[in-house]
Amino acid sequence: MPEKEQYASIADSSKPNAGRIYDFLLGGNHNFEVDRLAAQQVLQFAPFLPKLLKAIRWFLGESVRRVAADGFTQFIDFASGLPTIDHIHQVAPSGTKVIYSDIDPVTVAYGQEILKDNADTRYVVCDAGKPEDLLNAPVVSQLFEKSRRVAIGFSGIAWFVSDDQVGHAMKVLYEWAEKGSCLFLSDSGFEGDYVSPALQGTLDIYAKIGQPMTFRSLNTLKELIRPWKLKEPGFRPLEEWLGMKAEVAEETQKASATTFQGAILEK
Amino acid sequence: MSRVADLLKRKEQTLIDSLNSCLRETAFENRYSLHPRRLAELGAEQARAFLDSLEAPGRTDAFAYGQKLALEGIGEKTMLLVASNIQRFCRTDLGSDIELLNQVLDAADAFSSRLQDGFMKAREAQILTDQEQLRRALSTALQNQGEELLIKNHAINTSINGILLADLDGKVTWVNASFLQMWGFASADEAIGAPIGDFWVGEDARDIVQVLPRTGGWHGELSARRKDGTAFSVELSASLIRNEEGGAIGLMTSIVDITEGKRLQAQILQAQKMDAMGQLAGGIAHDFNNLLTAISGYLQLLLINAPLGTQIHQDLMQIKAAVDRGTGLTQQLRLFTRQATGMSQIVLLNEIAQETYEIFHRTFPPEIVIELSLAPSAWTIEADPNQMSQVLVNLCVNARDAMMGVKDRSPGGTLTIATTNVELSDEQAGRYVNARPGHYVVLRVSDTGTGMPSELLERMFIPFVTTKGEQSGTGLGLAVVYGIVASHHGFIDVKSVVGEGTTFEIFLPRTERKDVERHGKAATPTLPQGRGRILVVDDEPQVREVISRILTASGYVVILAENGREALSRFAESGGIDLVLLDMIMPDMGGRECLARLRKVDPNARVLIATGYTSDGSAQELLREGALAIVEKPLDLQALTERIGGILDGASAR
Repeated sequence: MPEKEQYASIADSSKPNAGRIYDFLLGGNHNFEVDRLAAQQVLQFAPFLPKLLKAIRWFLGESVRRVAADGFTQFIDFASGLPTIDHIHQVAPSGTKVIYSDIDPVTVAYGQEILKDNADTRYVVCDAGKPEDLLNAPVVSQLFEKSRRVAIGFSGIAWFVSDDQVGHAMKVLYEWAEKGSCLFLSDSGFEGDYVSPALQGTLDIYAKIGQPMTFRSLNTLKELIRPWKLKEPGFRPLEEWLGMKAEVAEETQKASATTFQGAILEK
Repeated sequence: MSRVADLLKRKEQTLIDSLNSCLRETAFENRYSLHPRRLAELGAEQARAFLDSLEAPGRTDAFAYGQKLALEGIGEKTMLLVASNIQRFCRTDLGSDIELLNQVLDAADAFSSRLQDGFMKAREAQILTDQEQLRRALSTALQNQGEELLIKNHAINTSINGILLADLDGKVTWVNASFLQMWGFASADEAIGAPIGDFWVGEDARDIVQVLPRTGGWHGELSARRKDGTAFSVELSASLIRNEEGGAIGLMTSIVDITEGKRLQAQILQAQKMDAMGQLAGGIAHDFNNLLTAISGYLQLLLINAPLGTQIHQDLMQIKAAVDRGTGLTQQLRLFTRQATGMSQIVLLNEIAQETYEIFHRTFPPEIVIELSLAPSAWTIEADPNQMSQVLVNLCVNARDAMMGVKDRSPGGTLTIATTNVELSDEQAGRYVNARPGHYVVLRVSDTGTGMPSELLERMFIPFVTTKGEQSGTGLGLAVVYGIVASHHGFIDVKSVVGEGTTFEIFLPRTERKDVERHGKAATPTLPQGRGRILVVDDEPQVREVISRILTASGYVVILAENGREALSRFAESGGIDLVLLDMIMPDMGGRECLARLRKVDPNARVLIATGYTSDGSAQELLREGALAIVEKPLDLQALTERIGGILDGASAR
C-alpha cells in the first residue's frame, strides 16, 4: 500500500496507484488500465513480484493465525488496504477486535463501508510512518478499553517507508504497547553491494508514480526494529513461514539480491 | 458406476497425493486469499468430491463445489490441472477396460464441466462484485472530492477578502463577491475578461504581474480604482497558481480593503498629536493666566487711583482692553485644553441650534442660505449650554468664511444645521478612536464652501492653524470646538471635499438624566468692603501681592503663604482665619492636600479655591471635599472681593 504524502488516491483513475498495482499483481480486480500498464512495466523488471506479494499476504495470514493461537484478541494493522477477504478479522477467531488503517482516505471510507456491520472492527486513516496519530485517536481506547496488549501488523509496508519512519514507528509502537504485545512484519532483505538493473527499474517506476521504495539490508532492519525483540525463529524467508519451497526467495535473490523476510517481534 | 467407484476409491490416496502435488505446484496461480496451508486439505476434498460423484451422481453438487473453490481463491489454471490430473488418474487405473474407462471419463468430464461452470459463475460474480466495489470506491471518492471542492468554492467565494483570478496574460478569469463589493461592480461579468491593470491606480499592478513568474509571489499595499473611478487603499497578496507538476497556470490575488484601517490609524495619530498639543497649550495657559492675573490686578489698583477723564486713565483703559483680549485668548486656550469650567446641565441641542439659527439668519450675508433640520424628538445631552453655543457659532462662522470672500469663487452657498439621534454599534464606534458604542445626538454643520485639502484636514484642530488672514481669526476656533467636544466625552467626524464643501458631525453622548435646573444662575450680592482675616496661598509672588493689596484695600487683614505647607503653619499660628484663598497647583504641597489637612485641623475652615484648571474634575472634587467655591484665574479682583464678602457676610449672618 502506498504510504507517502504524494500519492494518487485509490479512486483516482487518471494515474497509476501503488495500491491498485499491488492489487493487480495479486490477481485482483480493483485496478484500472493505467495501473495494469504500469504493472506490466514493473513485471518486465521484476517478474517475481506477483509471487512475492502473495507470499507477503500469506505471511500476514500466517502471522495472524499464530499470534491468535497465542491468545491475542486485539490487533492493530497498518497499511491494511481493502479488508475484503482473508484479512485479520476473517482469519482470527470471532470476537477478535481489529483496528485497520491506511493512508488513503478513500480506501478507509470504503473499508468502513465493508466493515460497517462488524462491531469488532474499525478502520481509520493513518500514515504507517506516524502511528502516534492512530494510537492517540479515541477509537483505540473505545475499542480496546484499557488494555494495550496488542498484536500489531506491519506487514508489506516497511519497504514503502523510509528508514527514519520505520525506526520512529517501531519506537512509538513499542512505547505505547503493553508488555507481552507482539508485532509481525515483513520486509526486503537486500544483501547485494550494488543495485541490479531489475531492482533499479522497479524502484524507478515506483518513484515515478510518487511511491518510492526503500530496499534495506536485514542488518539495517534489525537496527530499526529496536527495542522490539525477535521471537523464534527470528527473521526467516517468507516461504519458510508458509511451509513452501524457497521459490520466491530464489527468484528475488537472483533478480535483485534480495530475500524477503518475515518475523514476529515481542515486547 | 458404483463398481468403478469402488475400484477407484481403493486408489483414493493416490489421487489425493496427485492432486496435492498439483496444488502445491500451482500455489502461486491461486488468488492471495487461498493460503498455502489450505491446499493440503483441498486435494483430499476434491478427490472425495469426484469419487462421490461417481458413486452417487446426485450426492455431490459439482456446480456448488466449483463456486466454493472460486470463492476460496483457487486459480483457473489450477482448476484445469486438477481436471487433467483426475483424468490421468482414471486412465492409469482403468486403462485396460476401455468401456469402463469411457464411462468414467464421461463422468469425469461431466463432473469437471459442472465444476468449471460453478467456478466460472462464481468468478464472474466475483469480478462483478469487485467492479462494484471499485465503482463504489470511485463514487465515494468523487463525492468526497465534490464536497471538498464545494467547501473550497464556498470559502473562496464568501471570503471577506476580495479574490481575483487571472490567466497568465493578466486577463481576469474569476472574481468573488467581496471583490465585486469593493470595486462597486454589480456582477462578475463586468470584471471578467478585463486586464488586471484596469483595477488599479498607476502601473504597479501591471509590474507585479510581470515579475510574478520570477518571484512567485508579491505582498504589499496598492492604490485600487473602483468602477466609479474613486481610489482606495488595499493590501494585496498575489501568487502564481501552479498545477500538480509545478507549472504556472494563472494568477491569484487576495485583497483587503485597508481604507478604514488607515483612517483609524490617522485618527489615532491625530488624537495623540492633539493630546500633546493640549498639554503644551495647557501649561502656557496656566502661566499666562498667572501673568494676566498680576497685570490685571495691578491695573485695577492703578485705575482706582487714576482720575476719570485723564490721559493716564485713558491709557490704562487701553491696557485693560489689551489684557481683556489676552484673557479671552487664554480662555479659549483653556477651552481647547479642557481646563475651562463648564456649567454642566441638561441641554437640548435643538434649542441651541434654533437660537444660533435665529442669530445667523439675521446677521449672515444674504448670499448664504441657512437651512435648519432638527430631529423632532432629539435626545438631551449633559453639557454646558454656553460652550455648546460656542461650538455651533465657531463652526457656522467657519462655514460662512468658506463660502464668502473666497478668491475665484462666487460668494454664497448653503449652510445646514441639523440634529439627529444615532445609535452606534460596536462596529460603527470602532471607526472612531474616541467613540464608544451607544446613543448619541449628532449636531451636523455643513457648508457648500471651498472645502479643505487633506493636509489641512489633518491640522485643522491645532491651535493657531488658520487659513484666514491675521485680521480675520485667531486660529483657535476649531481648537476650541475640539476641546469642548472632547470635554463633553464626544467626538467629531469631518468630511471635506475641495470645491464642494465641508461637513462637521459632532457626536455627543445622550444623557438619561431628567431636565433639572436648566438655566439657574445665583445672583451674587455686592459687598465691596468687608472685614475678616484672609489667608492667601499662591506660589506666584505677583499674584499674592496683587490679591493682598486688593483685599487689604477692601478692609480685610491678609496673611500670605507661598505653598500648602506654609499655609498650614500660618493657619495654625494665626488663629481665627476667616477664609483661605487657596491656589491649586503649587510646589511643596498643592491645594488639594492642603485643603484636606486644613479640614482636619479645623473641619469648619472656609476655603475658596483659585485655579485655572477647573474642568478636569479635580477642582470639582475639592468642592465635595469641603471647599466653599471655585474662582477662576485670571482673577477678576472686583468679583473676587464681592465673592469673599458674600461668603463672610453669610457666615457672620449665621
